[in-house]
Amino acid sequence: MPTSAGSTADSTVPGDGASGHDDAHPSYLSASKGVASWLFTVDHKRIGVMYLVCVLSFFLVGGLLALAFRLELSTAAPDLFTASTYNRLFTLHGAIMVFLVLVPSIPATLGNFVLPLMLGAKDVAFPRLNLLSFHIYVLGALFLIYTLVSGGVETGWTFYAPYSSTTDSSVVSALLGAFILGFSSILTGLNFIVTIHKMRAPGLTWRKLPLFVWAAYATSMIQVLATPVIAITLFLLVFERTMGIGIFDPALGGDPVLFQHFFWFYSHPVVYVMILPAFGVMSETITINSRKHIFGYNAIAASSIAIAGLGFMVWGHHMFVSGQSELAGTIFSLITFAVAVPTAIKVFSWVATMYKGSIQLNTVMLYSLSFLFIFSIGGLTGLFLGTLAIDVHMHDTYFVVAHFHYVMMGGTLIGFITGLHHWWPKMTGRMFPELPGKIGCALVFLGFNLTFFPQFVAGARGMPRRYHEYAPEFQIWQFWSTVGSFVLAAGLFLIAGYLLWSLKRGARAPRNPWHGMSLEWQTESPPIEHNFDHQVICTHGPYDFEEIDYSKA
Amino acid sequence: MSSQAAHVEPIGIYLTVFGMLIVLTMLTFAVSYAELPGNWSLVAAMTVATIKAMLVGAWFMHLKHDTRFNLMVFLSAFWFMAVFFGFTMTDLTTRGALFEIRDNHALQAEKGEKYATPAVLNEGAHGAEPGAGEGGH
Amino acid sequence: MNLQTESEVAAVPEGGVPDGGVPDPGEDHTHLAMHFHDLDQQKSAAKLGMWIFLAQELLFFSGLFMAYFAFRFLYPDTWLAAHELLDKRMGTLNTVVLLTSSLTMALAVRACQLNDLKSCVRYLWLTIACACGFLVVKYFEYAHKFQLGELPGHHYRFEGITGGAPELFFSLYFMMTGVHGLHVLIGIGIMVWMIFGPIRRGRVSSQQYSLVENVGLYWHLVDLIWIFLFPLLYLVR
Repeated sequence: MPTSAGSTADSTVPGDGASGHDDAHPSYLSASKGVASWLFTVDHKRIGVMYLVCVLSFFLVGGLLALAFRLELSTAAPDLFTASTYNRLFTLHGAIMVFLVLVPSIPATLGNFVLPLMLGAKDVAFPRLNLLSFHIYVLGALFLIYTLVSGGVETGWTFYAPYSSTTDSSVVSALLGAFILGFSSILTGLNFIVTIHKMRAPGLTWRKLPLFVWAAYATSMIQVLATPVIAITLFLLVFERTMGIGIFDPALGGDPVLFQHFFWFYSHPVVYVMILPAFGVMSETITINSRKHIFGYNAIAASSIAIAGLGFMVWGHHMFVSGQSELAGTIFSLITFAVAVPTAIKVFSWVATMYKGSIQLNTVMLYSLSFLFIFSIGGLTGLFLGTLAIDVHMHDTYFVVAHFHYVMMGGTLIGFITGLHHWWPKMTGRMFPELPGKIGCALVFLGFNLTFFPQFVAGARGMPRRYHEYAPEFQIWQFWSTVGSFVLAAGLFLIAGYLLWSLKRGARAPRNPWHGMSLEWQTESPPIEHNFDHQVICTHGPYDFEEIDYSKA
Repeated sequence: MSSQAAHVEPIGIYLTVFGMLIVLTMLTFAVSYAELPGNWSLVAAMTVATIKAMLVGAWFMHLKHDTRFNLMVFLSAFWFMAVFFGFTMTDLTTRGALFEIRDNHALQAEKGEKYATPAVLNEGAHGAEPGAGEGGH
Repeated sequence: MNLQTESEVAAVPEGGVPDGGVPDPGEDHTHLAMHFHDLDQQKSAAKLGMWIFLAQELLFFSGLFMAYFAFRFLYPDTWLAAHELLDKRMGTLNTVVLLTSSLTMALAVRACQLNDLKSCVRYLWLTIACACGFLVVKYFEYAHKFQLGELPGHHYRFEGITGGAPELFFSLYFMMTGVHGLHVLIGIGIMVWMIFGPIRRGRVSSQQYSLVENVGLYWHLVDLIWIFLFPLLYLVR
């Protein structure tokens, strides 16, 4: 239990302290009023909420784009869109989902909100920088919105040169948007690293950090060290288009494969920016809902760092058939297998945590179990694609599409939804209803698998990606995939519905509805403006649950 | 919280470091006129540049008296640059290597023509390791 | 890059005395932001933040260096011929100018440590003067190349080089020196802002000079990058 300096409110048993804000310490939501008090706030919690609103809005936009082209793909013949429109739809879907949704999803929303709380800090290390990174995010988003309304891009979210430097669409605004969004990501990562190093409460040693914090730390390392490379790459590509500098243009002696090296040096590590925070969420939710100390704390923490480090050395597995040298391909393939080791350590540790635990099958735990199931499929199919010889056949088929949706959508976004439910009472002060929550989880799980599992089959049978018109023997798989995408959408709309409903009508949340032991549960729900009304001193680990008798261990 | 009491260097140290930097600049300028064989010109220039960078880092940027961790953060950037350069150059320098092996064994002579890589690629693959100095970056 | 902005250092910590008991009598608490315990924590956070920022700057430039090495490897003869077109003496002059600016910047930080703000401002102006000198020399170099048509990519018109892709050398020359020059320009802007903003308003002292120190670190990094750009572009054969 944290000891307090003068306050008695926090010495209650976690869970039964009803939230009550007095006038001296209003909640962060009611501390000040007006639009400006939100847009120019330096409170990490408000910034996190603003990110959340933006990310969810763009998730809606990206999702609607996906539904549009799923409709087109339900039949083999082209019926709704021209080939060019179809290309624009999937490009914008990819660019919006990657740059505006997946990358900031967990770190910038949940991370911003709970990271300082977990550290027992009053704010992140650089609150103004945090606000700046949000403003940069909005600016970058405006560029992508401009791209959307000015006709879109058709290059795919990867912007491969020389097509991207010659095609006649709004590539420059999309590039500038991604360039600007990169700086938002860098500044968030920088802020988190300094916050974790310098802002921990007294007594909160490195080995008492919640594993979500370790995951955020590894994520931030990647954000800071990989994102600048995509920034200079996109910068060069902008000059390539506007001034014809020719670095990636074979007509002027440039090397398009070099572009792919530049691009994937960032874009492979960035998939770990997306998935590592989801791992962090799982380490919290599975442990809390198993009522058992996490299995292999050190191993999970170290594996986050190992994944971040190894993740920098495998980018060439996206380029096995791009004209990269065979030697480089072999090395990249080998190191790709190495990434599976720390990832498996995490999955096994979570399963071992549940073993003989007292598992609470609530909504959050159901999502966590969905994550384990889906991510395992996503991760293992990644090994297929990391195998040099198999990738030659699988490259650019629906197998790849299914694989990265199992990891990005089934991993990151389900992790995001899990975390959103887990910390929803803390963020809003309201409980979400359990029954609709479970129904939503079932719809998402079924809809997701129905959407993407058929794509594995279609891909393994040779259906290439990025075609709006295809051979009729694949129609059956694509049709069921489209059906699944609508089930998935129904689930997501249901979640949106009951979460919005709970904002007004949900039951008042106690301080600690899930009986967690990490520091964010020791303050009010929603927290007061400066998080804690006293100096927090940490005296126990994040998973030392009370009902466990450690004297027998 | 480690106390970060300001460490004030005597002004002479800064002037000495500056003097060394100027001498090294002149040295590298002079060496550039020497006809060094192969990549030795690059190696020499990069070695001098690295020494200069270390002088600037250690004294002007106070890394010598800073916490170890700040040094580690800075050096980690060089490590990740080395990863970036190392793997990319591995690809560039070994492109077409399989075709060469095949050609040497004279198994499919005509096809070898068809896939022949630019002369410069093949030449580079045999020569001394290019960009030998990039590790110093 | 100024991690320590004004309103962050405005509030007094809640309860006046930070955790850990008696405040150091020499410390001026008006400079301590609300969410930090003490000045040490605040200073070390600002500095760590700056080092992380510098690390990402290096990775940003690494893309340009990577492209340089890639094309140097692919077109060794062109590179050899093209680098002869750059004026070594101008490059060396600029190196000396930039190294001098680094010295004056280091001395400006030292003056802050000694609470001698007058000297600090004087050294900063010297640094700015050197930075402007650097850009003037660069301007003459650029103008010369524009005249000869030694321009990047498809603007390239010079005919003095035989061999593949000489335009790529000049693409990289202009991109590398251009991005570096942009950093010099930003540095000048920040120094001028610092002199007329925080220093004039008394927000810098020997207790609280993280801002000057961090701008100094940024400036030394700009110098450091030039230390590598200079031999690669001008000297290496």
